[in-house]
Amino acid sequence: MRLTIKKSINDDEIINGCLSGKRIAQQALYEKYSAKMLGVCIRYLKDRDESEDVMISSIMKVFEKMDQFKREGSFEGWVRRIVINECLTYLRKNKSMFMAVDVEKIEREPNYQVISDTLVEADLLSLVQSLPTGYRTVFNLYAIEGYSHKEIAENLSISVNTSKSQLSRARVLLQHKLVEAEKILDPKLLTND
Amino acid sequence: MTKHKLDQLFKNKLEQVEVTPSDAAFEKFSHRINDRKKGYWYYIAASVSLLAIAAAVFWQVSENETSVQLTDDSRSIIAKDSLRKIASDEMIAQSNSKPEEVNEKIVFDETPAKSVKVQPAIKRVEIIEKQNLSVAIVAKEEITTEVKEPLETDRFNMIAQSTDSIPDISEAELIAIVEEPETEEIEVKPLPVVTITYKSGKKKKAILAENTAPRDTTNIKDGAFNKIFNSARSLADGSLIASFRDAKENLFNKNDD
Repeated sequence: MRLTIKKSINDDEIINGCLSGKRIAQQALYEKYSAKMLGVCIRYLKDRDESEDVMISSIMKVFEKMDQFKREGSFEGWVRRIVINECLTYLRKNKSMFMAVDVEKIEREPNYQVISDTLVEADLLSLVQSLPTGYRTVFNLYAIEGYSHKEIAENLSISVNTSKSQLSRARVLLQHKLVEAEKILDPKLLTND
Repeated sequence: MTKHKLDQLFKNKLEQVEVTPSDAAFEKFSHRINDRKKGYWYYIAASVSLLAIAAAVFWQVSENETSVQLTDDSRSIIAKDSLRKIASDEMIAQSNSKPEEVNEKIVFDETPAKSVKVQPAIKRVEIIEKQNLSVAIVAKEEITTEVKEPLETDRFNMIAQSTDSIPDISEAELIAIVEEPETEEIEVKPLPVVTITYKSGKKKKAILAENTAPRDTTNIKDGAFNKIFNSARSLADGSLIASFRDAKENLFNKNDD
């Protein structure tokens, strides 16, 4: 049976409770962050079940490492980094990360404003998920998480140049898909350019 | 550095995207928390039991060590006595049977004697080795009495008997017995007559007695630990321990002075 957690419980209370091993605090952490962290996992791993498993493992790791949290920065940011690391570990273990995929040059750039207005989060999420694993990983880390190429290279044990090329190919693939989406959504958009 | 428009679009839309986990995920999470709590208890229980085992082992080891110290001197004396006895028995045997080499013609139907006569002895000794006989004094008596017997007609049977009574012999030693050219020469003639020429087996028995007798003088209980301790104990020579003890006592005496 799921417990309803009071909204008023804040991060400090969660952290202190988890440090004391209180079940209620652990459940509060799950209630507060599980959806957000599953949102992260699903961008990297694509598969829903795998993402849930990694999300749960990540939260267990948060409990284990709780005493290492310095309370200087954002708790959510700290949890998010743990989740991302868990995703990368899972990918390294289970997926072939880098496969060369031929990417043709784009004819034209999509209209980002129109796309932003018409496509919802779920659409963009499915576009990211459609990328090959290596491209998706680098794109997530660089474009969404804001990691530098150097950080990505260190995290994935690749060269900075590989990280850069993976990113540019990921972008081209996404641009192709956005242009295609534009055509499907409204053929008139093509004439409005 | 301005962010790429594409990157910006995806960042805005997906950075804070939330996906509600299924109820099954919550169940899994609850199980993991419970297992984690159980895990701590298992860890505590395991460490407590480990400590208990360690304490028991320590207690047993210390007890065994004291018993070894008590028996070491007597063991070495008994071992020396037994060797002396065997040596004197050999002398008697030599004087009784002067011809060192005995030629015998044994007629077999088909199978060569080598395999028939020698292998059963090995098997029997192997069985005894597994049984790990503990009472050594009895075994020693058997050795000495059998050595006393003079060279008789069927030497092979005698060898087999003597090896039967030897409690603990390694395989390497056995191979040495079987293949030792000085003590035993087996010539297999084409068919069906087999001439077997061999010398006295006394030397071999003396070696066996020397190897086995000191090891078995302490009376040891059965059990895995005791087997290990027994083998470890057999490595340490009693006289060596005695010399260590003497040295220690001398040291203390000097200090007293």
